[in-house]
Amino acid sequence: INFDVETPTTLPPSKGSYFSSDDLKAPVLRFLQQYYTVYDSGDRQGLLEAYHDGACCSLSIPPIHGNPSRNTLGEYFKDSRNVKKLKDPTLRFKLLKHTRLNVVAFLNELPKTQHDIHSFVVDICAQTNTLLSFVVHGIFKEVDGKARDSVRAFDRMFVTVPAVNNGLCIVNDKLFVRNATTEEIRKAFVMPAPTPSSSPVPTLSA
Amino acid sequence: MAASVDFKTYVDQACRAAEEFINIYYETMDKRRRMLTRLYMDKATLIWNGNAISGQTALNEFFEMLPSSEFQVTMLDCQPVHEQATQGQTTILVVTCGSVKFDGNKQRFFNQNFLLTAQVTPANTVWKIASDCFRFQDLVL
Repeated sequence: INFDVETPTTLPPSKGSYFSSDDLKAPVLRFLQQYYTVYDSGDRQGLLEAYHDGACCSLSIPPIHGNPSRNTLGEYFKDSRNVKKLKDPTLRFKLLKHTRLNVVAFLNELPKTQHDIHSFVVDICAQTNTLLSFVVHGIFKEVDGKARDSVRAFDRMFVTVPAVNNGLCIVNDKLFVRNATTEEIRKAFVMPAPTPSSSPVPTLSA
Repeated sequence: MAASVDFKTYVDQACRAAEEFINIYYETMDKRRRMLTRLYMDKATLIWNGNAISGQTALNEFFEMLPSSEFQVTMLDCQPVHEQATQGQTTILVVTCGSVKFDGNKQRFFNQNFLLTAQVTPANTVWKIASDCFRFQDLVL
């Protein structure tokens, strides 16, 4: 006896980066290359040029069970903005970094990093004449401090507005950090890192 | 740039909208899937693990073939999107992470990133999804 109530159990296959058009792919990849060169340089002050005066930025990590000081994401815990857990409006406001100077000062305090640019998967999710928004998924490791060599995974959503020379200027930046899985650690940093160059750090969008 | 007292109002508004939105979104996804596209704008785009789906008809077809789901959201964050990017159309960024069990599949972790815009009529304000980007954390490519 058969009934026609079959329900789907197959998921669509996952695909790699979604760039929506080749016209957008080049500027977004160039932006990410330049952004992470500065971000990983040891001094993130140079990112000032990448942000709008009224930019905002927040960070979150997955909820921590048990004692946060013993968690390996402890370095990020005090800045983590999880609106599902934090009900106090003052704290919610405080953890959302607002204006360019505050955003870059905040980023400068985060652990020093090296990103594996070959791990990046990029989805361009919205574009209009005044807005380009994309999400970057990838892997980085920390290069100093007590969590040195820890491998992390991140998801980061940028909302940008057009800047001069086809550049992008960040108005919203949302960073999510978690521990990498065993599989992600195994695959990370298999491609050689770019050779350090003595040329000046490339200028960003502004 | 708006004074920071105004910015706090925007932040509070974004938080309220985001909290209400995720309750409705994931409950509709899990229990009333056929209604789900009503939360999307007519020309909304969903990027689902790298697959792009645009417009009401395509979204309807996509959600219909997606197995039934049980979502659990453990993290939510939101920001007001800068007015220069949105030409004055009130917009918020909403991000979530959590776990999902699709029927016939193992439980997996996910991240989801939304842009919501406020559709204001004289009677009320309705938030709609302008864009939606969903990825499993364990990318299988």
